[in-house]
Amino acid sequence: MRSRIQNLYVLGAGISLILVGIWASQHTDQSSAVFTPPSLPVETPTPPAPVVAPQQPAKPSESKFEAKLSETTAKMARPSDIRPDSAMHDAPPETTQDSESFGDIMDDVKKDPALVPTVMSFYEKCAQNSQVLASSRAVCLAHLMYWMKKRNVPFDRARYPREIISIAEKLPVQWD
Amino acid sequence: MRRLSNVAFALVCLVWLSGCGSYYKYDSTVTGEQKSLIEKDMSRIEGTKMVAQNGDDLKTIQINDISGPSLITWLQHRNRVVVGEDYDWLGSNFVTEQKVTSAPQLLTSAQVDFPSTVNAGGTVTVMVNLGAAIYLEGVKKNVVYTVTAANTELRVWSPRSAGMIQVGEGLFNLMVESSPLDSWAHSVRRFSTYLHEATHTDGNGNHRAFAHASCPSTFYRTEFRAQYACEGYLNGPYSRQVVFLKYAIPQVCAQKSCTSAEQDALLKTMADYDSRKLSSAVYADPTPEGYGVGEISEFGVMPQLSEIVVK
Repeated sequence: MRSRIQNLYVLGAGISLILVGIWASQHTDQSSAVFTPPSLPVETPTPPAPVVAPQQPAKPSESKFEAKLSETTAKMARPSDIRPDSAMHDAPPETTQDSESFGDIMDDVKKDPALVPTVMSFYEKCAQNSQVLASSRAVCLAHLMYWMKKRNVPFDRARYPREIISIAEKLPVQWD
Repeated sequence: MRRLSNVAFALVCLVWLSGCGSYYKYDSTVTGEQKSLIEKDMSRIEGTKMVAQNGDDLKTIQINDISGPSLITWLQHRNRVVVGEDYDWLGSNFVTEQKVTSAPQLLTSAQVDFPSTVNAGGTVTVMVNLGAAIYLEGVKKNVVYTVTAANTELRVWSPRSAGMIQVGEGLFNLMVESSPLDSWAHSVRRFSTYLHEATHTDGNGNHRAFAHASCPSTFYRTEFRAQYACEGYLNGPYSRQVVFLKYAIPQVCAQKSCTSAEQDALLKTMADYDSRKLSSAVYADPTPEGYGVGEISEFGVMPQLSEIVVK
């Protein structure tokens, strides 16, 4: 109770000081006025203690993450998967059949940056994998290029097909 | 006097409710859900303020800027009527065919890939620029067709005069299961398709309707070899989609909290479109052609090309 009264007193004093400051700033020559915020001994309100401590999202273990990467590789569409009756006019549906898994991988890495080297290795293998769709390879390479640039790793263009590099360079990958 | 103004107000409301407030006119073959999604896509993109950071990208899309209102205006000069999958222009919607003698520049290459029928061979239709397809059919036979759609008689004297696009179930497929059809990611994807189809109203002569090219037998995407799935133009339909997605993914989708899976799907879709560009691709004149250019169509005077300034 006493503590609450003290806080009210301090808060009242603070408000008075602010009002005086505003009044003074309005009645001073603007060109020479320098507004100095009054230093107030206002206590920062302490948030109530949580009933249950917030749980940090579980970091996926390295081996679990690697298993996920292997599963994703298996899910990636190959040119032979494109059905002959597929409408070639638009991107075939197989193009995005692995997107849930790729999104999941991204989310894991965002939560645990220690997984970056592992995911870079995955993206590198994916970008070099001539068995999978060119669109997937290009997206993998775009991610790899992002991380290589971020980590100052030189990029060797000779290791990837010219067409895949050309596409990857345009893709606006976002990790932030 | 007051009664008169009330009547006028009621009439305005009635006209608005009957579809004048829509971006497109819809044929009865378009389902309510499809119409609702298309209108939502258009409204969402109109509200965006994308900024292009590269002059070459504006040269590709041939619009002064990539803001939502500019994209919508560009689209509405090309697409006006939407018909559904069951629409049959050769059936009850066929009105007349008129012989023409003053042929426009003739196609010398057979690089035309406009399915005039949908669902042929069990394929899933995404979207077809039916106005352009009917026009091209007319060019082959030296006739100008007239059809009806959305209670309107349309004389197809140019790929742009009808401005008719046909939507199929493929347009409303999910890219990723976790993302609903009315998500921002799906709006972005569908809008890129509207831009693609609208580009088919442009071009003349050999570049008429910016038709797709047959992928060569040595094409690196083996699944596309000998298919009309390639892009022969640096300012063609797929190129336009690539530029749109290049800015929409970071400036629209990311701002609207797209999930990582949605962003991946859009990136892969963009990569697919870009992968179709041939090394021999060129910039072509987008000026549209037609029989009797300048004629007044159902929707008014055809937009003049001078409205497009390529920087």
